[in-house]
Amino acid sequence: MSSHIPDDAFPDILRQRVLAIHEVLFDDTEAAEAQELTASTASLLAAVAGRARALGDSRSAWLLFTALAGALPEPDEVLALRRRLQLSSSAEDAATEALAATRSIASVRGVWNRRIRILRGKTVVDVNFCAKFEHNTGIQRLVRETISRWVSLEKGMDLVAWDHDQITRALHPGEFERVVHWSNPGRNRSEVEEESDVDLIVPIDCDMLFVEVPPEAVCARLAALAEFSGNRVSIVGYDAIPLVSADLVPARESERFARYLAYVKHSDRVFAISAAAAGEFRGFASAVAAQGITGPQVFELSLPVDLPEIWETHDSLAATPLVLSVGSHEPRKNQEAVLFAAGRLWDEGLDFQLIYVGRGDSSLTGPFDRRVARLRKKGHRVEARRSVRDQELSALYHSAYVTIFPSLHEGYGLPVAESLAAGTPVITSDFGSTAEIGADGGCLLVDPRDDDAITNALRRVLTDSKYMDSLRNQIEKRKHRTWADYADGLWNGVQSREAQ
Amino acid sequence: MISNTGRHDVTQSTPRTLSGRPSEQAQFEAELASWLDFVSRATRKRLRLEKLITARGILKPVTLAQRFVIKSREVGFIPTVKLVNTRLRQMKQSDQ
Repeated sequence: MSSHIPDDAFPDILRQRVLAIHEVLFDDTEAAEAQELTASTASLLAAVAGRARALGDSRSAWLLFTALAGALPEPDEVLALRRRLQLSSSAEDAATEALAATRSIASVRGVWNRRIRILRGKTVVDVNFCAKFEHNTGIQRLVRETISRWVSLEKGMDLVAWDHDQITRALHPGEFERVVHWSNPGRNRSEVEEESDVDLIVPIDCDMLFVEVPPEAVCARLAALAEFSGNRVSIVGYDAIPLVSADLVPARESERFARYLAYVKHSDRVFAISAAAAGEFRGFASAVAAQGITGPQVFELSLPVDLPEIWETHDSLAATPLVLSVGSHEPRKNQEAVLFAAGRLWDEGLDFQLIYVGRGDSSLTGPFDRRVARLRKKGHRVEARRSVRDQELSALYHSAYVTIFPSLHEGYGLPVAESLAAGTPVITSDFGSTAEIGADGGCLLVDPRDDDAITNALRRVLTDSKYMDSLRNQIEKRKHRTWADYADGLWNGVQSREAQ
Repeated sequence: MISNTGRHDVTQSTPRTLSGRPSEQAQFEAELASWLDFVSRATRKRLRLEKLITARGILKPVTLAQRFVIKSREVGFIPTVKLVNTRLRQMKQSDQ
């Protein structure tokens, strides 16, 4: 938020906001324009509060709260205001109640330096994280591949981010570039939030799509938006790993995920990135029946087996077979089992190179990297690359002899798909989403909990050239779904008015 | 309307009806003025604090804003600079 607001700005800002919602609540542009010239702000506010009182619905209370507070409300705040409005005795009394209900929120966390713009009946896509940060792994890759295609096809939509986690706003030009023109070498890569006069955005009766997993701070506001605002909320559902595999993630992740689910249950539709992920979200949707909630419709829309458009192809340059392990460094990805299998095979005298790619918490990568360093001193060809740019990763996929990804739980498994798209066979897990990808060929499926199975699989691909040829032939025969296919499918799904 | 004692007092200068009671609309206009005064003063104070803390380089702006909101909601009112700085130091220590 700008650090300076002129003393006389608040009444003007409030008036603009009240006029904006007046148009929605009375559903009459002309009346709002006429009122703008004549009525006092107090009269306008009394009119909209009285209207919200007469309508008696949560949507009106949600909208009135948002306009007065300069922040999206949480569920209990919507309910409290709706009840206060219903108990009020007149339009002025309703407005007084609305002021009382929003007073502390407006002053403690409200955004007050800009006008709000109501978006009505539009398609609105939340790209908050991708807009603000340079990070670009699985989820961010999906967002950028999808949104950039929609923009180039001139799909009508508005992109939004969050202003101080309080209310949605339009993107700064630099943020738009970071989402839509990620590969543009000339764009500004500074992550510091800029001071700007972009409008705050209040969606109403919109198709809202949430393609990212939101920060915990906004989950309650999203729950209220999904439950009360009248917007139709669609979500890209990645997985339920923090819940289903809570034993593999930090406890804090599971707590955050539970907050996230509190908003998922009020959403309308979830587009899950694999059949396995769809199963997890359907399970959750059926569970909330115990709370008397319908839960979202869940659709399977699998991610593609494709490489990002900007990635170049590379010829294999490695003289020694390269075994590639890609993924953030965490217990769930099972990097330890791969290192164990590699150690056994090096001891057997097999000659190959092992490269790990992926960042992770230093408490995990530190000890692992020290072990890798000790193995290198013994003469083994192993390294862990923690910061790899897209072009380097593309070169590694194309150069690798095999990719190994025996993850214990995935929503999809982009490293499997990207390796196959680069023509490189994959050793991966024999269940869940990775097994789905592998079912079309090019993969050797193993039980990731069985160290012997991983070792045997790696030995087989390193020693049986005919088998490797058969895997490569399977890859050539695969019918590859592309990012363009995925982007089309998601757009059509979000726009669809029919239950699917 | 805020009186010298800081209490909300709508009777001091609010237009009155012939019966001597302030009209409902006039009363509401006073409520609104009071609300705007409170919100604007509190918001400006909050922004000054955010600017001050950012200028001291304690936290990056985005993180700062998130944590400031947490702090504000914990105490239920606009905290002093000293209170915020104390809490931010505690948060930094707990992060490490």
